[in-house]
Amino acid sequence: MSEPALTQLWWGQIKAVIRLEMKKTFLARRGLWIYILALLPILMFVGHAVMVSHERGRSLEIARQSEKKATYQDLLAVKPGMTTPEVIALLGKPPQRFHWNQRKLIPVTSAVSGTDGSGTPVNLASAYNRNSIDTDGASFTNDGLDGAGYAFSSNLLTANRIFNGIQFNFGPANQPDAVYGDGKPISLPAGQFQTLQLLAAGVYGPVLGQAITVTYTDGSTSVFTQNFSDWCGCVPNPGEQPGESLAVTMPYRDSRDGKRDNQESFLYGYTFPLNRAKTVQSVTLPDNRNVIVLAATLTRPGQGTLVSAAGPSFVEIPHENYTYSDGANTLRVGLADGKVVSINVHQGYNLPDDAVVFAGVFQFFYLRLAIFFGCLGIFMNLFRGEILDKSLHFYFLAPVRRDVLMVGKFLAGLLATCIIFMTSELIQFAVFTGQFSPNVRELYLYQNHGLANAAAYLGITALACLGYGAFFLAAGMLFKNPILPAAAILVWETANPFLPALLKKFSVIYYLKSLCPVDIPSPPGMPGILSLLVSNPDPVSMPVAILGIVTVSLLVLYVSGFQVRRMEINYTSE
Amino acid sequence: MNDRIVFEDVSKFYGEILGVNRVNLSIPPGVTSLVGPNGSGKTTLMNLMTGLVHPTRGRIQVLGLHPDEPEKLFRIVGYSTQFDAFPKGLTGFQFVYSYLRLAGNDSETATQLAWSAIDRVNLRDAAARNVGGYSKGMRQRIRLAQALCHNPRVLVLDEPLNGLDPLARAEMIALFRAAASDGCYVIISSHILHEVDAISDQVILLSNGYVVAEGQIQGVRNEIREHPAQILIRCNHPRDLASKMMESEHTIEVRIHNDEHGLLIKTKDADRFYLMLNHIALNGIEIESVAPADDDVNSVYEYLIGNDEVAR
Repeated sequence: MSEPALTQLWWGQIKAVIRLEMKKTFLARRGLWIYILALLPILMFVGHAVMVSHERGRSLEIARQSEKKATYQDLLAVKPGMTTPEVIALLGKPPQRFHWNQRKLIPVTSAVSGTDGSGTPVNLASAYNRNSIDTDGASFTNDGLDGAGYAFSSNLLTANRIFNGIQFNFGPANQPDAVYGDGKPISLPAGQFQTLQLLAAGVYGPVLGQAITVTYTDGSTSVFTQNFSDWCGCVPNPGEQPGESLAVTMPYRDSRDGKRDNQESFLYGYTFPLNRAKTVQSVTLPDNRNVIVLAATLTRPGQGTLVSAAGPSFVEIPHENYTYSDGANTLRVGLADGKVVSINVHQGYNLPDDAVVFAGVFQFFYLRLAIFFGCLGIFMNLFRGEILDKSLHFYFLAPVRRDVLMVGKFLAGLLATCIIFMTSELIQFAVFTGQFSPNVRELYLYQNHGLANAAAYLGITALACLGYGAFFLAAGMLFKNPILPAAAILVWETANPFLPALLKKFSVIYYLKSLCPVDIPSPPGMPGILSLLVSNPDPVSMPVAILGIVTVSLLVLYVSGFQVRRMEINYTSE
Repeated sequence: MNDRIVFEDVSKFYGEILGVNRVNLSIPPGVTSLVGPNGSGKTTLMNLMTGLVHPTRGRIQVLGLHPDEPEKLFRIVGYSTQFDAFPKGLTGFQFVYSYLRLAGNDSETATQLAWSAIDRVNLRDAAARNVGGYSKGMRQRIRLAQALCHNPRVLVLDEPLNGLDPLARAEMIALFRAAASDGCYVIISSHILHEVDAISDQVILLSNGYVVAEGQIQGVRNEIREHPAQILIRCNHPRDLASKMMESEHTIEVRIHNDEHGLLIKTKDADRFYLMLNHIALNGIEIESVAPADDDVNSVYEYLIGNDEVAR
């Protein structure tokens, strides 16, 4: 047979193989996941486009509603610490405002150590029945304040406190120094007073509905009902009971072995209004071991600062969030108590930045995973799949050179992978650019190498299919189990940046990376060795890269040609 | 030796497992049967001569061609294998047509040859259906069509009558005989001696990878006739068939299968049995399959050539 006739025959046979393989490759059930790999980035970019569209619409709406037309520079001019009027003067009334109040505990500063407070302290010494105050480092054998071996620190509490201008005196540390009610009245200094004030706390609280009775000399009484919060920070909402104020907050308490227990502890203030027309005689504390009174003081009009009976030590701090936009970028300003406390500038999506993201998705997902595993699925099965299906003999019984058959199968795989992955790439690019306005898009496509980049991505996709296809075709003929060679190729390709210069050339990714049109900057702070994965320190020129990948592929196919001639049909050993 | 299929000291090992060993053969035109029990090396011999496996040692030539040149070999060889798998999604016609296209034929020639081959195996009505939906017999016939379609000089047929009904068997046997009388080399493997008797000009007896005997079939035919054959038949009315068969003097024993859809017949004259069966099949009893159950060819070897001559 003459050479042209032979070439014509081979070409006819290759076309016959391609026709047979294409249908099988596209419709193979075991190849379904390849479509998912190709579809994933499209879905990702579609999702991104929807988000961008939503964000842009929102930014435009905010800009449209703005009182003043702000520029991007105006947005950047807002600084922390600026007041609400200053922000409004700069950017106008916010088109979007969100506000709420934060309930905040007032830091306890009212009870300070000292002895120059006003009022008439009540001497409770005759009624002390509880060891509630302990010197740091001193161990004690009693049950402490709570019956479980814990007590206030005398180092923190000190001997006296002035709370709202009123003097309170505590009992001596390390001995009975507090009172729990046992139903017996405790004598009060005679006199007519405006209030009875206590520094006390609940144990295993909150202790609710406790009665405190003040008896006057004429036998009449004033009865008060009070809830007592727990003294320990381990119980939530300290000092939040009605008529209760946080008097002293201490960062730790003492345990009976003399050690600190890093649990916050609290002492609360309570104010009970008295009948000023009558002379007080005694007070009867709640008959409850879980209500502990450390100090009591009677006050006359004008003494101290009257604290509202229903006033817990909280303040409402107004918070506001203002949102401004220049139509593309969005500024979110957080204000607390009339001052800027947080600034968040969300830059609008722009094509050059997104082009880098697109390049990242292409390099790190599409090229290294989707195309890699897609080629694995298709090319490995060209021979291996038919061995598993026990149908390879159909080809081997035809008057076709085995290497011509192999070329036909390879071209069928190449055609299938190129159609699948280049179509996906094209759609990804269309979706990616389609989210921008026509002007921006045209500028990118025609002035900023957008079209050239698209062509480069398509070309790289085709070359990746060629390179990986050749490797996987060979692996499918050489190995029964495709997992091991696939893993070896994956490791080889991933380790490429760390290989010696000569070995680098025997991989596909080495050339593909050099062809990628957009450089991906290494994230700041990334270790040098890892940044090798991102950047390409020694790229080769485009002709060398294309020639390199074609040469490597042809070399692998040439070797595969020998293997296919040696192949035997022996399905039982598979 | 460009007019023979020649094996010169051919051995084939699958790892440590013996396929065939020290085979020397020179196969002339006509129908040659490779006979032996399962695992005796029949398929290995066929795969060797068609290049599907390569010899570990020795040399093979098919009419002067080497099996490792499929582009030349399969222009004169057609092989109907025992592998019961097909490329997915093809109809019967596409299966044969694609093979012809692979061979380099243009569409028109391929179409013409494909239909011709399909007609030869009587499968035109089913040719448009997917091969995946074919019965076992139809799959056997479409494989035969593929082997025949390019009018090869050498037909290699591995158990070609398996799964065929009596009529189809008769048709196929006639087809092979016609090809042989046209000067073709028809190599048929079988483990059924009576089948071999009906078809073959010469026979090659294999056992455990060795050729234990070869020669003209005429010499063994009379011996075979005296050897009772066991035949398993699947049909819709086994009891009716059994009563008809018992009317024949050559029937020794009939056993109805437990499922009432088959019977085992022991006969002294297999040729007459098959003739009778064809007649019955044309008269109302639907015969699903006919399969010789007498697999114990070793006993037949002893019967044929004597225990002492079963060489190793």
